[in-house]
Amino acid sequence: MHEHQFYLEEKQKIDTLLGNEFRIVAINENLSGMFVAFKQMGDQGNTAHATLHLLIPETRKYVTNLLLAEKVDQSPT
Amino acid sequence: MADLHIDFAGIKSKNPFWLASGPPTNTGYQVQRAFDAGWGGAVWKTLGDPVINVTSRFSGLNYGGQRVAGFNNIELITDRPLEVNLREIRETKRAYPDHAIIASLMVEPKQEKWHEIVKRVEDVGVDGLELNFGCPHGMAERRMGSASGQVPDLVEKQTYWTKEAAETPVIVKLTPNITDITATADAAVQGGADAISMINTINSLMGVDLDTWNTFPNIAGKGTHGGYSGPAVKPIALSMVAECATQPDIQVPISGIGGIENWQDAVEFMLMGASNVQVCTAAMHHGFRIVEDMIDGLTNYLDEKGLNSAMDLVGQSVSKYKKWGDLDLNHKRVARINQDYCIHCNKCHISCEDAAHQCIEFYTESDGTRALKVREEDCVGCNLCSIVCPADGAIEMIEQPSDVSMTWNERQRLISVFGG
Amino acid sequence: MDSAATHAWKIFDEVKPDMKPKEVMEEANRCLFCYDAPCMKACPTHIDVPLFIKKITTGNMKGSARIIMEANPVAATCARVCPTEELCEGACVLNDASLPIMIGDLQRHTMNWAMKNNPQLFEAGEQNGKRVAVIGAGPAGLSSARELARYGYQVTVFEKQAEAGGLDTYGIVPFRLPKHVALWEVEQIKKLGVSIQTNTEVGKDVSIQAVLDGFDAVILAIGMAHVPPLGIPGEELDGVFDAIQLIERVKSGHVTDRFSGKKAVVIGAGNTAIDAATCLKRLGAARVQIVYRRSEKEMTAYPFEYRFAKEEGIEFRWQTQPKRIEGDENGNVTSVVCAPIMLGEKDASGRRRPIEIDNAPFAINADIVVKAIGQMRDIPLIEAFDLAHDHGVVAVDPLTYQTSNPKVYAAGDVIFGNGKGEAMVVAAAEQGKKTAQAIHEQLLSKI
Repeated sequence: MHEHQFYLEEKQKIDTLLGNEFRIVAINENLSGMFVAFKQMGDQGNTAHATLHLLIPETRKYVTNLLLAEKVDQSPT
Repeated sequence: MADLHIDFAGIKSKNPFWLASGPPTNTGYQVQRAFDAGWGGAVWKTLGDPVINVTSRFSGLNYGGQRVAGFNNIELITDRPLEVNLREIRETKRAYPDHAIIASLMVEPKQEKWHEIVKRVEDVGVDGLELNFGCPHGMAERRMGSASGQVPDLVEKQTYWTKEAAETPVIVKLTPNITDITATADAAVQGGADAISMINTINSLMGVDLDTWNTFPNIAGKGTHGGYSGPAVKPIALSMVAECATQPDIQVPISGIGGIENWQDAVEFMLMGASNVQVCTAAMHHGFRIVEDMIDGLTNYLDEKGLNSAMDLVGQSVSKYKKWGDLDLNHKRVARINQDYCIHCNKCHISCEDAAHQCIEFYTESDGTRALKVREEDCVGCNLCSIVCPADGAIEMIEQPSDVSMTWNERQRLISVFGG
Repeated sequence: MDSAATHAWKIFDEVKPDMKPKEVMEEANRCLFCYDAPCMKACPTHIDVPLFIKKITTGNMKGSARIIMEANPVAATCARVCPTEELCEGACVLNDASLPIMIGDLQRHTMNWAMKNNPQLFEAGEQNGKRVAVIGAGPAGLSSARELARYGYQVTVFEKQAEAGGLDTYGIVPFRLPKHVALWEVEQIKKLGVSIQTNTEVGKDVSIQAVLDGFDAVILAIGMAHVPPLGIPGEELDGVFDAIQLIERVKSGHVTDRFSGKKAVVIGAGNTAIDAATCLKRLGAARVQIVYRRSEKEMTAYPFEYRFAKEEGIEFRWQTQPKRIEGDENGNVTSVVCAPIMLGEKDASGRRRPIEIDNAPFAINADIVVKAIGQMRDIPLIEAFDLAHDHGVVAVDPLTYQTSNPKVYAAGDVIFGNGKGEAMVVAAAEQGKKTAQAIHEQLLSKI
């Protein structure tokens, strides 16, 4: 098993969303892993939503490190 | 040369090495031999109403060809009248005034019983008292030893009664046969204890004979649980010392006991908060002479570290002992195999493959030989491979420190903002 | 150094590798830590073997080194040259139960640590104003000097060679005992304030009277001298060597191609003969034969030395008595003519007497002949001191090591006589220690 590959895949999804003006708006952790809700907050007034289901511990850690580094807006909207 | 003298709750001793209460401190003859060998102090075998013992009494756990990795005993407290012990304590103290003699005591949980024995042993000049709330076998069935040491109220009350009568420092010896040792440690402090010592022996059954189906040890075909000690219990004892040392409410000195057999073990206990150490099983295995290397090794170690006094060690590692939630999740370490030292037993591969994260894989060198390497991106740094590796230097755990630390507790606080 | 010379030195690297760290810990932890241990009693210097091994297991290497060197000032040498299977290891209780602990190798490990880290293990005692002269800086002399310095004596050692260490520095082949090991031991003794005057021969550079008058006590530790003449024709031919001198030259760094491809005969079967033979082999000799007039049973070389020689390809010709050495017109050795020997009744030394079989001489082709039939004694010096002796073996009181002159003591090979004990480095070290103790007891009343 190459878990690192799965991590890279999940991370890429997060990075893609963040690169397209999505912000994290909600996090829910449960028995199935981590659910991260994103909302697009661009200048063009787009309001798309997306939710990622993260399975890999490294990715779940990555998300909170993003919050810690304030790379994303920490205030929920 | 570094100074090994210690002051333990007011009890002075020329080095931190005391014999723990047990078979080696049964008589004046033994304690005097121990002092001649160099021990700084001795806790006399527990005094109380003299018992009758059974034979046999001990058994040993051999592991991988080494004897006495663990040790189990069902011997009770002293079987000699109090007067005999007191006479020998007085003689020994007179002949060895610079050595610490502590009387270990165990009586029924009644105020007048404690008052009586405290007065009598202090009359012969002991330097301190140690209350035996720990032995898990025999005496516990008579509501003493660990039976009273498992109940915080009884610990507090009996400590209090002792303190009512005592003029010398009172050390409370705690049993490890309890879920949270800080509960009884705290009770001892509440009762007025001047110090605590830990651990007493752990409930154990050493084994069963495959031919006779008798237990080890057995007495006429019957056995009972005994107190476990020796090198195998050291990590348990060390964690209990650390638990108490990190409690802000427990401010009394700690005497470390459990599996200590050399100066290195002693240093570990002292770094983790013990002001001195007590030894029993190692002296039973090798004799009192082991203290020579304990003294010599500790002296050389302190000199090498540039420390003037053994007391400088006490508690130095306590601040490093944390709750799990305060550990850094971002810190990474990975295993790396050094081919120069690898002997190709492949034990790291199979332990990682079957029991960890499947990240040590075979590859073929340019000369056709098969070797192992770590897929570092998948390595979780668990240490398993380096633990099972028999070749020194073949597996190195490489630290990859993170720029930013994030503990579990910090992470949960962050997530909570997002409703997680 | 050119490549040939570099190669030459490589062949003199220690034959036996150091123990690996893992091996050390496994072996040290296998030691039972016996009480009143037989290994300790079997060691002539009574090193507390279980204790020094215990200290290895606890990582107390300084303590381990101190325990060893306390008992034996030349312990790094002894770890390499002692016949351990006859001493400590031979006495190990595990011989019967499993395999004996490799005590010599563990001692070598600790001493290697000490040589690398140079801890201060001992200090000179407070000066007591007494002066002692030691003649000879071999193991016995060094050992006595170290002990006396610790008692507070001002010690001067006179050594005729350019470097101290005696046999350890000059007499044991480098692939068993590198010179730097012996010289390190010398340094440890110098650190205690002992003055070692090399290139100084007593009786020549310093007068005997000056030594007797200038010191409160004198220790004669001159060991033995060169190999005696064979007493057979042809000894003066070119190609005949003295084993002691041969090893001495190799140890001093004189590696020549003189022996390359040559056929060599070594006469004698003691440890020195084996040292010389294996040395010749390493120097490139094509064939090396040891010739001994008695049989394998009577040879004095240690079993491990004999094994080593056989592994190195040395041939042994038992019951063979050299009669004469023959040479060519240029005076070079061409052969050794020998007579076969049969063995008769036991003689005074307990060995069977060799009896020559007449009229059956045969020749062994040889370019090189090395004499290794024992060592001579420096009788002129012994007599110049006016000491009682038996064929150069100085007579001493067995307890005090005092000679017929109460001011003069003797230790080491100079008192080693026929059939009494063994001429071992470790025995010399112990005698040096005991001599120092005896002097201290004698002079104590005067301090």
